[in-house]
Amino acid sequence: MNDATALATATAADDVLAYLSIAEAGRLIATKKLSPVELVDAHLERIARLNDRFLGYITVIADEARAQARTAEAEIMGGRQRGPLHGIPYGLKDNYYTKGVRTTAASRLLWNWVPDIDATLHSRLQAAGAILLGKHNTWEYGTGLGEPQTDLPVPPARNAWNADYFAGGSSSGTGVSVAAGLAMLGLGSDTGGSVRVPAAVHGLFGLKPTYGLLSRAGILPNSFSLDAPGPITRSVHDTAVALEAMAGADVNDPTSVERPVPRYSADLDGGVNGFRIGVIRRFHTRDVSGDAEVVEAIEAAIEVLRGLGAEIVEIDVPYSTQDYRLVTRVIGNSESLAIHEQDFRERGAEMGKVLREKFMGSLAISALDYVKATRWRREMTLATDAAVAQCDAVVCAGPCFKVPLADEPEATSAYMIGSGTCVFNVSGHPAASICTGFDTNGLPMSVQIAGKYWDEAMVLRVAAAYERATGWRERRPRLA
Amino acid sequence: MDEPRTITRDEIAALVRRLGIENADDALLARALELNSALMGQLARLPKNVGKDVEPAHVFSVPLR
Repeated sequence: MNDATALATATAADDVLAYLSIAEAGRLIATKKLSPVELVDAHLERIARLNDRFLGYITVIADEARAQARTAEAEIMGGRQRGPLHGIPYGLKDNYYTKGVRTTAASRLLWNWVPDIDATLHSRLQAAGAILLGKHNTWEYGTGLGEPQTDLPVPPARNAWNADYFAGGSSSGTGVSVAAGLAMLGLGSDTGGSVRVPAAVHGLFGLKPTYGLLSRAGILPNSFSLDAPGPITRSVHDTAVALEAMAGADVNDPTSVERPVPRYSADLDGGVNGFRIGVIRRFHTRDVSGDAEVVEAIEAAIEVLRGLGAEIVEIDVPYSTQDYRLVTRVIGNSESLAIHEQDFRERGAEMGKVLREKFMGSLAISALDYVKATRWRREMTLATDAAVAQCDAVVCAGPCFKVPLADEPEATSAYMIGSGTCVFNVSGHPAASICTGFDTNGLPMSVQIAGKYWDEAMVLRVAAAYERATGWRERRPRLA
Repeated sequence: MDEPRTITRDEIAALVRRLGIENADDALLARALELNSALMGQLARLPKNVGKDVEPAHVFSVPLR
């Protein structure tokens, strides 16, 4: 066998393992047909081969991951199975605290910082037996509006479908890693779309849950009142399983809420027949004139749901995406500056240009502006909830444009700023991004599915019905 | 919508001094003025009169307990 043949054979073999769903891998592990050691090795080999190109990881903990995989294997062989995530490899955006593993937030300010505690969600995945592979690339401190951040200690992550194109953000490394088969599950954080947009540009499923469903303890904050952690996966079912392991109150996060955690994976096959699904079109028609291909894909998705028996109704909100975005800017930038004030004052020169200018450009926001924005947010939240509450679920645009080239800053900023994702950070509703097909450049397109407060189960059920009907998730990027 | 507020270089310099930013040179002040002048236009989009919200939890306007 020559080198090329050997490489192709190895690639095909680890492709099979790396692109298993969590459910498939879990079943194989539980029946002892697949070892967590094999699964982790396959991922680490892919990371070694592909990460220099796609820059999904800032830090890889190969030795620790292999040791943990051996422990998982021994537990499973000994009959001590922890559940569907036992032996499943995952990655974390590099703003999640990881005890003993550096947490950089892609910033010079934290480049060698090693936390002495774990983020709660990381602890919960560990308790479920999942295996951490490493820490994912991000925009500095999870902040930005799409401008290329090329002056950080690590270059920006690159799109797995075409490395010349925008990888989204700020959980960009999480998106590319899951899309490229470098992790089966990734956790990001979302202040205005930072889970859903990287999912959108990679053809993945990304969920921003209801504010308070997932603990934010041990995640470097961007904005106290807008941040939500969320999973990125290749399928709806994978997210449901991850959510079951992570949801629930946490004494270390006073904004987390004590509620029973549903079995999100139990109702995914129920379909949408008879469900009332509201469609908000203003985000991609009036507020932004979306690209024709993206709009057609959104309309096609609506027709798929109608064809599955859903009642489609037009609904509206009295605010534009620009209104929601302004509120997130005033509130988010104020809270962010409050978090980083000392570093900005004393170490601003070490920050990347985007983060530094975010703070410089927020100096004139007054206390009155902040309070006014919170009051306006209250009005927006009530109006948004009134619209969402009319339906079982809501469909609307996330990004309204085709994925732009990474080196076109005006286009990448427009892609982020024109997105309808920030609407649900303002209101706190659960919202997910799901693939609606591929544009003429071969890059994924997407739509948002949102739901009532705490009704992630419905969001997932509607998304699962659409996913089964379309099969977009079966497509894989050509990485060679 | 309010008339856009304006901001001057002196006001920016005062904000920078108040925050205690080190090494605030002319270039930093010029860029901060440029960025905050753009911000002033956006802040004018905040409604002049937001409805009186007397709920004690209005700042955290998302469901809590």
